[in-house]
Amino acid sequence: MRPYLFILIFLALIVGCGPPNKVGKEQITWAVGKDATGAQGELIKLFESKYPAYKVNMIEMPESASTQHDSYVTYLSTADSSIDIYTIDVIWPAEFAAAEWIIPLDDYFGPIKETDFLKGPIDACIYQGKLYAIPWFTDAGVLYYRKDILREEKLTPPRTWQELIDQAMKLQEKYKVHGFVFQAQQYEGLICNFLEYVWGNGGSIEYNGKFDIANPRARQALQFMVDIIHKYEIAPEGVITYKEEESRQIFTSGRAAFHRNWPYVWAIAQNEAKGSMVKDKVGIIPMVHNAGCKSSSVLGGWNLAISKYSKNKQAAWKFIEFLSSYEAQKLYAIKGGRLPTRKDVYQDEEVLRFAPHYRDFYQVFINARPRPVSPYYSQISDLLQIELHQALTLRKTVEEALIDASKKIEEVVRQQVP
Amino acid sequence: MPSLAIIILIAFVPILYTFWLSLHSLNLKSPLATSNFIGLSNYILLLKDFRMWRALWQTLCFTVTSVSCELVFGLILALILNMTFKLRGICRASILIPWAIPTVVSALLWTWIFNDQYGVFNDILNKIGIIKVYKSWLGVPSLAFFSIIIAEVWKTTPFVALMLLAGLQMIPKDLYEAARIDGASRLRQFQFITLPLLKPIILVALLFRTLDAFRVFDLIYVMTAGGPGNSTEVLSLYTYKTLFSYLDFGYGCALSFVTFAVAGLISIFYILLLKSEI
Repeated sequence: MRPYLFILIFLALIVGCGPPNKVGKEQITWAVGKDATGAQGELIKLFESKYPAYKVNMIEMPESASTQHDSYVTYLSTADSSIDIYTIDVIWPAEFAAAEWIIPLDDYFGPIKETDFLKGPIDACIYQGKLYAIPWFTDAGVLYYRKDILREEKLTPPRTWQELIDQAMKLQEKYKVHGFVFQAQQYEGLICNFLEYVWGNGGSIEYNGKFDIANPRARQALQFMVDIIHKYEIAPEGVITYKEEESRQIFTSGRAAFHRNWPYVWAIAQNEAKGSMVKDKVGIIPMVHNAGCKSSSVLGGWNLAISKYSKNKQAAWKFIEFLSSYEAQKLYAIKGGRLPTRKDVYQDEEVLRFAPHYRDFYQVFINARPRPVSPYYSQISDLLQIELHQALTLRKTVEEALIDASKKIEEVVRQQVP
Repeated sequence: MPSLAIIILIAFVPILYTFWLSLHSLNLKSPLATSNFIGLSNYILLLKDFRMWRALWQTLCFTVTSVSCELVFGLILALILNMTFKLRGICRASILIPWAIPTVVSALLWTWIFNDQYGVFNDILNKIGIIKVYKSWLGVPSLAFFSIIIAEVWKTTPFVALMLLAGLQMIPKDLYEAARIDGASRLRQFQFITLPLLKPIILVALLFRTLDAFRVFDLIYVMTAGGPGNSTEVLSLYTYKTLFSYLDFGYGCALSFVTFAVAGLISIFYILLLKSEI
């Protein structure tokens, strides 16, 4: 008898622990990465007060993108219907669409105009001609510098690779700081950093839809990354263990002259309560590029997609429509410090008062380039990370690393063609 | 009988299912090509997969190095704690602290200790004068491996020590008395009484630790995520990436089955050793 009783109690616990159902309201469940600013809760409150017929349940996911990816995979591969809206990284739409986990939104998209949004984020959501997600906020790599030190030295902020090296070497010596910190841990951020040098060298890693990793311009870009660590030594050796936060801490504690990161650092740098030693001493410029080429930023950001298994797609769309509206984007820009994906929000007086650099950076954000769109992106990225890291730790030459990477990636691509 | 049924349900069924999946080509990213039976193709691919061999080799290096260090330190600790001295109870309890901390937390702790900018490890070595410039412990392949082993040994030595301590206390005191009367030195007592009588316990401790170390995941996932340059990627990490990041369930299952098979061989080896002991 006792085992059955035990099972009964267990079942009762499971059933009893479910979310309380508010009678009469349509439930929308939204999975989204943790955000310390609390702005997400405000967005939900605003939505619920505007549309009292709906109730939004937020499921907070871990901050790390790859952990989020893996938990979404667990939900979706088991056809779980408990989540209606997934907030997905700019590099996942193709993968999720190919797996048929998220639905095309073209039919819903009617009332919103694609041209109201920045082009890069929209492009990243398109897979085989269909739009699978709506850009929620965007990101682009930028270069931070110490305004105070540069002013003292009467230097203008660097624009080319060589200027960055020269200035960093000089400042490093004189001010006992690290010249330049960025992200080169073996993870997705390494690809972002690498691509900005490849693009800033007039190159690419794909031509006509095919991967071409070992081309001369990519080699030069990787060689530059190796050199700034090992030859010019303007970046600390430990940079190959840094993700965003490790490098950011060095910069905002005043121990680096230059820093490549996403726009979120701006708000932290101005906030002494968060331990910033560089309040009002920081400037932002577009990423440096090789002489004679154009600066280029990698596109980041997050998109909203509807699960194929959702039982409430219409309601889910209602909420996505709200999140991508002018009003919600403005709120999230001011309260959450996130870059809007709608063009017109960049003209908003209040938003510009909060973040004056948006005006100058509109060009950078609008020109940010997406990473290659492929359902096999995460695998390709992983293989490339390994090889890049071999070169950065001097275990392989730049040539060897890139040739090995391109061989392995070719194999993956070959397997994918049936 | 019910216990047998439960064991079959929770152990054998998943293992067989994993093996069954590993005979298929199953990639979640191409639902059209779902679940084609491809026989042993995944295993043939595995044999040719340089990355798998490297991961296997790194896993074995990690296992052998960390388990032997743990055994030596664990034994020393156990011998010390078996002596009578003041505050022995507190000492016995306090050595368990590293073991009680969740691995993810201790891994983060060690990541900070080994940090290249403000890490304690650098600071100490610098003050003693062993290094002049701060090193990036997790950023250089050989050093990263070494750092991870330190973290692992720190965490699991208490477990070995505790098991051995239990073993030591089962050895009858009269044996030592008799030996002392016969004029045997401390060293000979250790060699001819302690070691032989402790052997079964040592084997059990080794069995647990070897299997655990062989399947190491969280520590490395947090500390290096396989880097630098994949020099610390172990088998379970590669399996995890294949399953959850590449979404290649067929190949991933083949990898986990290999892990299972090697772990099985290790346990059979130890069990045979144990049997010959008893």
